[in-house]
Amino acid sequence: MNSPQDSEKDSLTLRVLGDLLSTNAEALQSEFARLLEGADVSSRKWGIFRLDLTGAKMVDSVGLNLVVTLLKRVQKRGARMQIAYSNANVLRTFSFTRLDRHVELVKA
Amino acid sequence: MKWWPLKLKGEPLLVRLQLLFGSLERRRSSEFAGLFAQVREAELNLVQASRGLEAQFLATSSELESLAGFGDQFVKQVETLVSLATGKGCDDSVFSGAIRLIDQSTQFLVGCQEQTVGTLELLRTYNAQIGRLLAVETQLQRTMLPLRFVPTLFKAESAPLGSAVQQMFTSLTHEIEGLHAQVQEIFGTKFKQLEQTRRTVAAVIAQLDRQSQSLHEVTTTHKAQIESSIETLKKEMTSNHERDVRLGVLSKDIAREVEQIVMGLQFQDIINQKLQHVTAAFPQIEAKFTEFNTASNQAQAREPLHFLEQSCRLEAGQLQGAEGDLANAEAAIQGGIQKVLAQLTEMDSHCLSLEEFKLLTTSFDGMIQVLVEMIEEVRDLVGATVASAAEAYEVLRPLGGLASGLTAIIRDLSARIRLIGLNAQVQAARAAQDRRGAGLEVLSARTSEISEETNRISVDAASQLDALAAGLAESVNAFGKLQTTGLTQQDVLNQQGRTEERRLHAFRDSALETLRAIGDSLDQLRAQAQRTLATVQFSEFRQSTLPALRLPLIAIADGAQRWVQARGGDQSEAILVDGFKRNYTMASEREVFASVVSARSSPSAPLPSERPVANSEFEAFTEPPADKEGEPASVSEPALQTASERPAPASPNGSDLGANVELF
Amino acid sequence: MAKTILTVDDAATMRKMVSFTLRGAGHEVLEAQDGAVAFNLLQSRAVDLVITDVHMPNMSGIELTRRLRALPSFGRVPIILLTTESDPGRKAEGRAAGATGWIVKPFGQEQLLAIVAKVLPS
Repeated sequence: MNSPQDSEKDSLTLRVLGDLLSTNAEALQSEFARLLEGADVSSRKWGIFRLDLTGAKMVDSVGLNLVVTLLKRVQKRGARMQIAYSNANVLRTFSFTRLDRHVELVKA
Repeated sequence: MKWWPLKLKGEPLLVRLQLLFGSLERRRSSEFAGLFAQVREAELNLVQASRGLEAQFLATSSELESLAGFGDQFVKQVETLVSLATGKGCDDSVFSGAIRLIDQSTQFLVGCQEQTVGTLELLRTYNAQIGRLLAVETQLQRTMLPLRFVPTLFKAESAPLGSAVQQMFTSLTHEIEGLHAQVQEIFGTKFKQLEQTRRTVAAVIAQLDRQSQSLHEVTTTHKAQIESSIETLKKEMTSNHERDVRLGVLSKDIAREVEQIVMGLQFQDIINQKLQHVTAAFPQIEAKFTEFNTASNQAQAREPLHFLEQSCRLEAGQLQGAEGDLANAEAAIQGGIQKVLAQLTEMDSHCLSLEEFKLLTTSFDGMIQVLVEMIEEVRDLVGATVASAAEAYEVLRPLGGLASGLTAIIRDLSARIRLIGLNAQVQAARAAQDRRGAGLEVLSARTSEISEETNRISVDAASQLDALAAGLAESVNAFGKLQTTGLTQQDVLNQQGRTEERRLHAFRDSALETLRAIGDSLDQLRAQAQRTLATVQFSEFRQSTLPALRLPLIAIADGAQRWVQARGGDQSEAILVDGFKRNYTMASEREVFASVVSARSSPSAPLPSERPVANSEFEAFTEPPADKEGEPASVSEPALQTASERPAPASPNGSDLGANVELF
Repeated sequence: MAKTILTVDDAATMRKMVSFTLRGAGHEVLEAQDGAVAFNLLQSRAVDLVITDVHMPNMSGIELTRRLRALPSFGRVPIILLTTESDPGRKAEGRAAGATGWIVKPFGQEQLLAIVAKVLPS
């Protein structure tokens, strides 16, 4: 299960509990939509979207697709994206797919 | 003097001196004996330690084999990853299915868009027709307006003519009044519905127009984007096939380092043989020591000491050579393992970045991602198109029936009007029989004219409504068909689209899985490299065991040399150790022999014991001294060299296989 | 194409390095620790190539070569002497015994594979 967290004033945070896989990507997309809606409804301004993958050991191709989708939606709103990770494999995945050139990767 | 033996007192000087030298000789002999005891002990240690050294080398070889196994696995995984990421390792079927599906869906959307444009044109035409039909209402009202007054006029005109005539026109006036009521109803409801229909169709036109515009833009740019993206991706994949990959260069570097490690490990055999030659020389050395010990005078002692000097120096040189070989082998193996590990780590970094490739299949903007997004997009577009067609169908479907209904009403109206006209003509004829009915005749005639005109308008309107109904039905059918084909395309996208998406994701997942495996392999390699390095512990043998034998041999050789020189001996005296040369199989051994010989002929030449042992750099073995005339040169040993130095191939048989090879 | 190669050496490390090199190239490698063991093995097992050391206990590499060449079935099988020995006299002896070639240790991996490729028919 995924749970949203708004931790700072100018950011939105979505924490993924466990790996980011095809099994939970769809649910996560809905969570993100709800998060955006909530921010829009309350007219909250945010400049950073944080995806918390500190609990993840792996990201599969569907999960990666979701990250790209989220990134594009975030960029469309003029905001930037941060991904927090703790596992080396997750970092390697984002390096290999060159997402690290467009997303700020933060080691937890 | 305390040391003057008491028993020499009173003896002649010469005798005393001879006895003194004898005691000095005995002291010297005991020094040699001490050194020989060290040599014997060191030799025993050496035999045992050699077995230990062999076991260490064997352990290193085994660990190296495991390391090589992990290394091979790692390199294969990296090659697989690079192959997948650059498109070299996949056939077109991975992408072609998705490309075909997207292409087909885009073609469908283009077709939908064209069909919608056509249907829109028709709807605009129908709406214009509805507009003209709405004008019929005004026309009919205007035409039928006089009929409103006709019943009253009939009553007035027929009043003086008696009840029979009044009765005649009463039924006519009832019919006319009935007609009015019907017409009011038509104007009140049906034409209002027709007006509503026009607004509905206008709204549908506006919505479809917007969607069509947007679909047109999307499909046009989409089509261009698909074609351009796929073209660019294919071009990149094609040029990827030709581009040099750093991986290939790194693999070659690794192979070279492994070669050095393998050569280093072979030195165990070389060192072992040298040590065997050294221990093989000891019986002769022992025999000469005994001969020296038992010599009764200087002349007898000279030859064995001369032999001891040469042989000990020779064997010390051999041992020094072995120390150097071992140092070089240790450096080659340790250095090689460290370098291989560094190169494998670099290979891992390289496969993470693959900088020389602009586009990768697996990157966030690569072929896989582009195709997955395009499938999603066409799926959404087809869905929107189907929804739009369904909406238009639902809205337009009842309109055809409405038009048909109105046609029926107008036809009925037309029939009634024709009857009224006919009736009026009949009444006019009857009224004409009575001179007082002239007014009625005129009214009847006028009524008949109005009826004719109304009938004409009605028939025309009915025919237009028929055409409109047919047109609307056609448009509704078109949207119905569009909906049906759209649903079919949606099914295809759902099933085949999911299949292609799964295939694309599976391809990327296999690359990501390989990436994970590479990370695990690198960890295994690091651990195995540490295990392998831990077995490379030759220092004690090199720095302790061998010197423990070499140093006393040098001391014996130096002592013997000083003794011989002190007694007027000449360094150019005969070489007594020629026999040892027969056992020397290696060029480096013959080099040691030659240096011992040359040291004797040129006193300033450095003794083998003074030559430095290379610990961190490799020494190339030099060619042996020229053999006697007429004899072919012996084959040299290859050198342990750094990766930047390549041995010059110049073998006696002229082959390109190396200087140490001859094929018969 | 993978071949079956026999490596003969009393030094276990040498046998390991030859095997490591040849197996890495896909060949099947058999091992023997001296000439006598090798000769017995070859009575029941056919090989495509023999790579043998010279100085070994029980039977030297040159003696092994001589005895193998005396067998009717061994006329065509290449025999390479891989040795520390660089004396031309010994080399001539090896040649006279029927050896195909002579390599002075240590060998390079690529070198050994090139030699194997050269002496073995593809």
